[in-house]
Amino acid sequence: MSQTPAAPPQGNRASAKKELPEHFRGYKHVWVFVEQERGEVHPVSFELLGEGRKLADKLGVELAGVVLGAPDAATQAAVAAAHHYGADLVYLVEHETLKDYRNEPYSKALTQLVNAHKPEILLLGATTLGRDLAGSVATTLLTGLTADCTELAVDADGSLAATRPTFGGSLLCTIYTLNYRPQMATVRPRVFSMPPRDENRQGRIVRFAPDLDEETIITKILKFIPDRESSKSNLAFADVVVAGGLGLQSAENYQLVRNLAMTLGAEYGGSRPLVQKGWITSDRQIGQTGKTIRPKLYIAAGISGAIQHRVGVEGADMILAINTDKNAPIFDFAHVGIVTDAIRLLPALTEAFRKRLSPHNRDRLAG
Amino acid sequence: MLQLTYVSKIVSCDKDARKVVVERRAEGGVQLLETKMPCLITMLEGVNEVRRGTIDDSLRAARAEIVTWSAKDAGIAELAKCGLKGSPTIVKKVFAPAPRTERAFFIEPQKTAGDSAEAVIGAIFARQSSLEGDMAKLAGSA
Repeated sequence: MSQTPAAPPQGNRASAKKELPEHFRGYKHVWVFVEQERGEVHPVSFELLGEGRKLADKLGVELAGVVLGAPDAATQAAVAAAHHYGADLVYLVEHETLKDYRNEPYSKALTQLVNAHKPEILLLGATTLGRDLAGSVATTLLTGLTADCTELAVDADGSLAATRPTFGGSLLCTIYTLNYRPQMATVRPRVFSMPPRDENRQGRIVRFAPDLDEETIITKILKFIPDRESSKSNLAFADVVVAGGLGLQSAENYQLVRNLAMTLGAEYGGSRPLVQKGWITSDRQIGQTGKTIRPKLYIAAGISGAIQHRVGVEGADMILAINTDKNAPIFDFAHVGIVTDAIRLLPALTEAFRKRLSPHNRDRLAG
Repeated sequence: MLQLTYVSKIVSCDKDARKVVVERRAEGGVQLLETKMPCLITMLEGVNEVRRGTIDDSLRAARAEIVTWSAKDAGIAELAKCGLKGSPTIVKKVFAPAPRTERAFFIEPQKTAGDSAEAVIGAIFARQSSLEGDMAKLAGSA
């Protein structure tokens, strides 16, 4: 896979003048892969359509959604949804082999579609599905792929400038795909905000018949085992999130985070070291290698706020940081901060919130 | 080659039939997949406990000769297609993230943790007035 290594820019490569080969010059328009699994469109696809819309408008080109699936009602619903979230047109690839996700038929269908209709930019969600598909499609097309971007822009000459964390997340870098098309990028869920849905918005549909045959596809799906409802965390979409870091000092103290979250009806999570120590499970990790969140309130207790954590929480409307070190980087991007020991403050905060938000108190305020 | 990513478990492996059955992490569940070898499998973190090697194995590892291949040994004719030179992407700039224009608004710790907590909550709601109503609703349904 052509994932770019985290290497410093070398003068001659980084400043290489772009001279797009003749056969790539016809590549136009911005595409967003609309990911469906088990009959549902993943919300990251809508977030990408919102961002893709901006890129397409800036380039003066069209925004297309790409829907792959079995010929059924769910696929039809995905097409309509893509239009509602801003796509001018939808490339629709319906085939029985595309009922559930498998790398081989999906890679073939998407590669064939790209070769036939030539987009200049192709965006996918950085989900288990999108990452798997993006890697093999980029490799097959021999083009570049920038994974897990945190920012997308179009520069003066119309190139896609994709920014992502590098060097273990301590720095950011901007990556270009100079002489190849399409320019591909993946973005994790919740990095971009959800655009408004307009039910009246309509668009064109361009059907594409892929060259696929179940007989020749080697991998078979024997079964799908859905996750238990209770084990799913809703971290990425929660309105209030409480998280802990190493400043909590012990696994037992993590309970203080959970108690506050419980009182608030919030979701709870933590920084990467807590996962490595086994205090929390990996689906509760917040940051570049875990979940990206966009809550109304984020409470970070004993988290220093390294850049890999920062990129995962920057979308929060309000960040409250509690840390004993007044120079901790978390205070550089938190809105409200207090230099104190989270182990002492968390129980007090739980109690104070309980009082302040109790129905009794609200009635009194209202009366 | 066939690729299976995000594999969480290898269920069975039939050497004679050249078949492998794996569990693969998907959105909202796990796929049970059967495929043929050869295939490339990438596995999730934490699928297995690292066990200590035996002394015999440690000695064998210490004596083992490690063969280093060059691109030529691996049969790669076009070196320009390898490594950084062969990458279709370039890193145009590397930079430190810009700090927000202002640092956090600091709350002075009070005499008791309870007073500190109230000061913090007051500051949050003063900055974002809609938050109190939203949170009261959320706490009420908790």
